[in-house]
Amino acid sequence: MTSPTPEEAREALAAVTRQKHTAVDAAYSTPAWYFAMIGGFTLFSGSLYLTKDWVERAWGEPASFAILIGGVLISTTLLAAVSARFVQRRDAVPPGGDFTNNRRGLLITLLVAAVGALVLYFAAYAAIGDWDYALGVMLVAVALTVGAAGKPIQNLMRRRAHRRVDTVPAR
Amino acid sequence: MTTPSDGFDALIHAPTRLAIVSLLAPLEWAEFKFVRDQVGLSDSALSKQITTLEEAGYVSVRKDFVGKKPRTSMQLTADGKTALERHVAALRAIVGDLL
Repeated sequence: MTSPTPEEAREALAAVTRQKHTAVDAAYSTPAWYFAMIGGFTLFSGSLYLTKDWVERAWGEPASFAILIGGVLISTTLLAAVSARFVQRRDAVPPGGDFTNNRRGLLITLLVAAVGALVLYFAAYAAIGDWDYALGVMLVAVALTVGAAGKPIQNLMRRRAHRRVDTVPAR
Repeated sequence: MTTPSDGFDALIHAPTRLAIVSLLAPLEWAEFKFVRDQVGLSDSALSKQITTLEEAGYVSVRKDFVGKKPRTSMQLTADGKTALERHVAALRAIVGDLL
């Protein structure tokens, strides 16, 4: 095949850029039920909070504390992992966006979730002076944070991906 | 001495294959149906193009099952990415001659 004319080359370049942007948009499009995950987390946290007294009577305070913190960390991590998996379309996965193939991403999320939840818990206790209320505040705060941060983070990732498409690779 | 067409890849330059590799470039994995719909090809035509790209080492194909349904996904390989980058650079060089 002979080299294309400059005009043909220009058209081919435009087609490449168009397809790349299409792929980025598809990969970061959000199914509506992603937001239902936030409701699910709130419900889960609420259930944990409401059963706290029962667990405490049955197994004592340390067990109750451990179950609650463990439950929050596990559900936060699962939520982040599931959201990251479904925040993009299942049929087009952006690099690093698939947590099932990204153990480092999952570990970082777990660490951030653990530290974030504990900092929130102790900060709430420092402000309120009651562990039970602090726990409730922490659960609600985590749910709101995850819910509020999900969409902007997704938009940020999409904008970065579009910028990468527009960047001319080094020759 | 390098010429504007260094890196020009005739296999990639065919419009449908250029569309496929460009679509796959920013993605990790893409499902067959997604690529078919975006590029606007029939199942058989896409399958043929993917086989050509796979034989050239530009695309890798993964087949798995979701429940009982088979699912085919594809990814641009490192060689495919390099070839596309070189090809795009060659196109830019050709366009640059006009300016």
